[in-house]
Amino acid sequence: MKRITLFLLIVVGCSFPKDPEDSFNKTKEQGLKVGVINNPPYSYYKEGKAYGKEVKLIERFTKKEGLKINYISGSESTLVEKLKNYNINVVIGGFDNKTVWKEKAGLTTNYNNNENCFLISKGENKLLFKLDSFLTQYREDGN
Amino acid sequence: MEIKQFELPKHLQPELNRAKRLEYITILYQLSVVILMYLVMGSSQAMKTAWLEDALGIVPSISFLIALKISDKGPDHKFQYGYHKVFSIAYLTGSIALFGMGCFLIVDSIISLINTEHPSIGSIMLFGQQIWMGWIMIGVLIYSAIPAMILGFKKLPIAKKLHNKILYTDAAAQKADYMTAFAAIVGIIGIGAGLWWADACAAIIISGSVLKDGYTNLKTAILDLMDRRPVHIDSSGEDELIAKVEEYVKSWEWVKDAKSRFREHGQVYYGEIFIVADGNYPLPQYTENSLHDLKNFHWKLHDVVITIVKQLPEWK
Repeated sequence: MKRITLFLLIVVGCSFPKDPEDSFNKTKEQGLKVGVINNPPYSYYKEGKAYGKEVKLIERFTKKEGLKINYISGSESTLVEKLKNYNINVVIGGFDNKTVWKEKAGLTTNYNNNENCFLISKGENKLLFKLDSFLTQYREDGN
Repeated sequence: MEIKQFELPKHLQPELNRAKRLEYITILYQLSVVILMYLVMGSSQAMKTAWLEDALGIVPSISFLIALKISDKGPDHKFQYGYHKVFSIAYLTGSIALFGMGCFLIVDSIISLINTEHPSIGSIMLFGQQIWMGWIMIGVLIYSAIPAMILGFKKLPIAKKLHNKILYTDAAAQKADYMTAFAAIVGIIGIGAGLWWADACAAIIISGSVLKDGYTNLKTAILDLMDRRPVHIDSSGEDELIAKVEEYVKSWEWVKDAKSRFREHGQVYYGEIFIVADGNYPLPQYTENSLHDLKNFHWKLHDVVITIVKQLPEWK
């Protein structure tokens, strides 16, 4: 009995949690849409290309998951609004646990000891889970 | 703390001590639940609701223990009826807290549903494994339910024996705690299955149960303070004890006819017995003896006055 319960938990556990707006599955076709704010050294735009520590990080993530990546540049408030309406998936640019956008966006786990994290559409728990796993791994490997 | 004989009969004293022990255990256990829940609750509305319910669940245990300390004092110059009513006051304040919290939670949960709030639930690293926080929340919810139920089942019969409403409310709420936990678990599983609204719906159901408990208790507390006729502890009907006392009094040889009125003072009853007496008996002596008999009739009849009248009072 115990083994069956454990087995069931593992099976359900693997497909859990899901995304209410299906973000993670959509990224497989549409690529991960990443909002980039201008906040060097975390992220910035130069001659139409995205650079920065967090840009590198997110590229490692998409490579691991085999996803394409689409960058969208903009101000914090416009990008967070897009995030809120599920038009983009993630916003990067040196946010931390104390960000003022807490109410409007979800936060990933911290990828370093400075409590830096990414913003993510609220409730998209599968994408969050994938990102969290990646970022935790990254932190534990000491980059 | 020693229980004074005037308060509780000997056979109920061990029950009271058990109740006290159980309430101390309840407080410690509830505190651990509240801390654990706070640590894992994240942005789930259902968890927030269940958490506040559990936090509020400590109030009856604490007020029971405090009220017990106060009510144990005997009557003195300032409070000549004793301190029994402290239970009614504790009961009233507890139920107002519950009712107020219920109102707040139901509004808060409905707002979160209207705003289509999608709760984000992250994950943590545990034993080298990335685990979705939802599973941890479910674990904590189970911990918040099963010991609570056991405590509730243990306290319920004691509360009935002691006729103590705070203890009864506390026990009844704890016994039903599994429903809160179950609703919250369904909410969390709903989130995991990609149904963001499951969380807010579960929260509304939980708030509804808090509100219902609050309303029922508030009503009982107010009716008791309005000196209504004593009822059973679960408000299921009038206490037959009052009718029995009247019968008992009428059976005395010197009593032609009698009527009584009683009200609840915490766990005991106060009241008067009106007697139309047979003038051939020495009334002062008989009245004195009868007061003594009434005290021995039942421990709940704590403070009784006998009034000799020509005509019995009538109530509508």
